[in-house]
Amino acid sequence: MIVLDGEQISVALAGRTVVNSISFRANAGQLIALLGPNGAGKSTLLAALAGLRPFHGSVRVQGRLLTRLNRRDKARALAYLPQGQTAHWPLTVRRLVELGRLPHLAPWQPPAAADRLAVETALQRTGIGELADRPFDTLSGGERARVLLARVLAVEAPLLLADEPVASLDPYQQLQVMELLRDYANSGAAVVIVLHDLTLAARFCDALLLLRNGTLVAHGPAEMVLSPEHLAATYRVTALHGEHQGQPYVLPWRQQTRDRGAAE
Amino acid sequence: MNDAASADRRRYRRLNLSLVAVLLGLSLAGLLLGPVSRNPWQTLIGLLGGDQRLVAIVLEIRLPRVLLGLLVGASLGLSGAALQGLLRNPLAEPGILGVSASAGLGAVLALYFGWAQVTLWALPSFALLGALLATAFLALLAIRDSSPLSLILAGVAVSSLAVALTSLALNLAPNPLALSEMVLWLLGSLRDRGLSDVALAAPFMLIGWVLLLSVGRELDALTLGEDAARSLGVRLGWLRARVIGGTALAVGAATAVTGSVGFVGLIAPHLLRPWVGYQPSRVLLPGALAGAALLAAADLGIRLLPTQQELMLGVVTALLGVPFFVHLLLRTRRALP
Repeated sequence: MIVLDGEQISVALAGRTVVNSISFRANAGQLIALLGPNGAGKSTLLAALAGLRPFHGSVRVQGRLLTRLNRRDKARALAYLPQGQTAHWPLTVRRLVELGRLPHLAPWQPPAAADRLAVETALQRTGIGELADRPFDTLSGGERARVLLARVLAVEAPLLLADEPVASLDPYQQLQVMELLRDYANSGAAVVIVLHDLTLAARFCDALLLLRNGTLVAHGPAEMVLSPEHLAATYRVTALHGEHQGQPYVLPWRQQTRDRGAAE
Repeated sequence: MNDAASADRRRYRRLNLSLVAVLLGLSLAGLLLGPVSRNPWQTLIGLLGGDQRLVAIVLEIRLPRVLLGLLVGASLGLSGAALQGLLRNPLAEPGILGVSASAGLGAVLALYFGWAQVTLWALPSFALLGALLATAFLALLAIRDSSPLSLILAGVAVSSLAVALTSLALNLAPNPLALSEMVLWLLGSLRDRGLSDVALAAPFMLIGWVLLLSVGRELDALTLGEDAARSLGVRLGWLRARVIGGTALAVGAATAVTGSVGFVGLIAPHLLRPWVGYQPSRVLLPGALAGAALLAAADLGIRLLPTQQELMLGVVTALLGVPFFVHLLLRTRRALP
């Protein structure tokens, strides 16, 4: 089932085209990564998919045009985790996760049974049940990341958009977050994330989109998208490619320019 | 987990009820205590016995003063809590940001140009306009630059300008009578107010309160930042409009009748925040109640202090508030990256 259907999405910021006519689909159960060097337009594309930036083209979520959805339906259809997300007030973990239920709450009513269940499920899924009553500012970086992830999971949206969900996490936490996202996709949602780690993308994601200067360079499975030619053309690096127990890894090894210099 | 949530709600209700009890106690004290009769029992007995002089004092002098103290304190506490939530800045407050001073300037201009004589509504209207312009300017600035300190500095600029222009009006005041009338808006006081002042300000304040109390959940969502809040269905423009409009109405009307009283909107929400788990929506109502209690207590203190000249309320709240502000400023500064 197609959850997200984007056609010829273009975004211009301050007169400059940042995303140039990108089309792709995300099915239920899929985890898809947006890759590309800094400034390639990944975050802008993700924000446009979330309806947060004006765009040309069309975005359909579960068959309905994003621009035609009302505020509340849109907020229920997709959950968005911004880059570098933090909490401005030290709320307790439970209260923060509860914010994800906002699109579901009736005005002036306390959270209903379904809302409390969703919060509980999100807390359990991310393994932060025992932190529920701790204030956010007393948590470690990895715990914070899981809390903020639990907040987006609590929306229980069919489409989850996360901008660099593993940035500034240690390797253990990165694997933990990737497994959580994989798990959420497996439960029937479509998940689209911005990622910088090529190996995590290759191992955990069903399809990759490689961007450069706002245009789509490659789109498909990891072995095709992360080819030496593509990595050279976008990231300007050469990488080590390998496989361990049937899973691929890609290790950026040298800057392309220095490589060329050494050859001369 | 169900229990945790309902225990939470019970605690919140208990907090509000305790604040209401404190308010009732302070109001009663405000009615029964005063320079004329120092013994509250005698006052009560005199009132019940139908002592005409005492009844007149309590109803015509003390009642308006107590009522205005509650209304103004609640307006300031609530506006402070809402502004802090919107701007995600614990230092935001109508006094510090210059909203009160701008409302005072509006009031002084209405007096200076004689519009206040044309219609009774001119003075509060101009105070509202002053508050509206200042709040809207600061909110626009906060959209462009979200640093807490630049906002405070902009507030200092707004405040300085409003005070300077108010002083200019005083400087050029045609006669000493007008001068003494206008000085009030710089200092703030609840003295010599009548029920007509209450009637003039209360409708504006009530509309402002409704607007400010309606934004709770959206302020909660803003805890996650603007993009995340928008993705949760918050309309930022509509949210800002309500907080700005509500602040202008509440603070403008409050300033029109009492002059600018600072720091109440800073102290009240700050004291309450730890009690409600820092959740912006839960700071609003207790913040209003605590603001009212704070102002009622300050005014009661002023009336009972055996000073030769009665102290001005705005001066007292500033003396109490500045150490608070410095403390918060240092803490916020440390919390910045």
